[in-house]
Amino acid sequence: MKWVYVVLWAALAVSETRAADRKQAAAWLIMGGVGLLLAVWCLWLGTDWRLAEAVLR
Amino acid sequence: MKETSKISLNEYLMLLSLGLMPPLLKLIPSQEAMLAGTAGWLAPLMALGPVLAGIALIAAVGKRLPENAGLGEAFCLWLGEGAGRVLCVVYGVWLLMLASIALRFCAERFTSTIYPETGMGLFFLVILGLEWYLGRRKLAVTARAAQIFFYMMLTTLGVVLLLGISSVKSYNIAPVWVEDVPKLVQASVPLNGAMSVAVGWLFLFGEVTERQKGGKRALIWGVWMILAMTALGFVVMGVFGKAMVVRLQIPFFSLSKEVRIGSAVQRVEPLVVTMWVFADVISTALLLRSAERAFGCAFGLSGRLNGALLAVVLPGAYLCAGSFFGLDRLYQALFVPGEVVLFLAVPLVAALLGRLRGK
Repeated sequence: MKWVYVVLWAALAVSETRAADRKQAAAWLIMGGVGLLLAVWCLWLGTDWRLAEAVLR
Repeated sequence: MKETSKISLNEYLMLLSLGLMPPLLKLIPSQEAMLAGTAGWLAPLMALGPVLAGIALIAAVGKRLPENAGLGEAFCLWLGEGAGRVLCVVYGVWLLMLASIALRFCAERFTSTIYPETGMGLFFLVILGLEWYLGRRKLAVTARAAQIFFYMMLTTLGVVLLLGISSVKSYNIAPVWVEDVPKLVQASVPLNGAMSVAVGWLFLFGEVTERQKGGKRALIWGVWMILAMTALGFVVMGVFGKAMVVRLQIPFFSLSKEVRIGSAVQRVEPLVVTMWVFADVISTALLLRSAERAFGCAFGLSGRLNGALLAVVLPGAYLCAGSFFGLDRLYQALFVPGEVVLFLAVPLVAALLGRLRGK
């Protein structure tokens, strides 16, 4: 799953930013970056951290 | 074939009906039964007044807005560019969180019913592939898909409810007294919260035609939605009773388990759950598209952000909870009150401020 996500992320990044203007590409990379960070958090560091439990505590 | 960007009001209402099905199905009638007991199935009728008032207000405000303006543009008009853009970012993030939790709910429901022992990875990938495709096309394409799905879902809902009516027991839905009214009003609040998700989809209102004369049609739609929810509550509560309903994850799916026509049609629950994925696809597509529009308004972007939003939603769906019960508790504790604030209170205050400012 980890590497599927990374490959898909890279493919999306290339296809969606290639034809976009600079502002659009920057917006994509910032949001995509947030997604990548979250993915690293949950896929590489494990899903033991749970937002539900943190909020409900 | 050339794709048109605008959709008609009827198509928009169909999108809303389909998109609202998953959040409403989570609440009806388990939440109502929990708050109002046996009378819970009547709670949607208590929501009729606020829902119709909300629709009338949206119709009245929509008439004053410029052509092509959705909720994001309205915020910028009412509150000024700066505050409006900040609010758009808040809504964008909130809609993304809602999309993540909606996707997770859908995955939990689907995998636990169809493939109980499997992970959700493959399901997420397939759904996000669909979302990516829909997000790349104009809204009219999503609306056309929703049109087909809508009639399928309506038929399914109708057949399951009709077949369930014969098992309704009168002691499960009565007695109902005047003393139940305060509890019914309380039970209608989460319902209003769930229906208010449609306010978030008003970011797409700029792509709807016939906005000036659509108020009456939207009001009729509101009445039909409430009646459909009441019918759903009536049959499910009538079949299972209060004590059982509050223990079920999604009582409607449990009802579909009971449905049979002789020995020819049995165990249709997996089929119903699979078909409900269509509603989830449309609901998530609307959330993602609205988030895209909100971020577009905030940062002055006119292009697509669909792929980037999907890159956030997938890990978000994984991270939001450890189990279905954690997910449900998170939804009740954070998202239901959040919906009341962000989809009811904030737009109302913003519209009032805009009125005071003469906008």
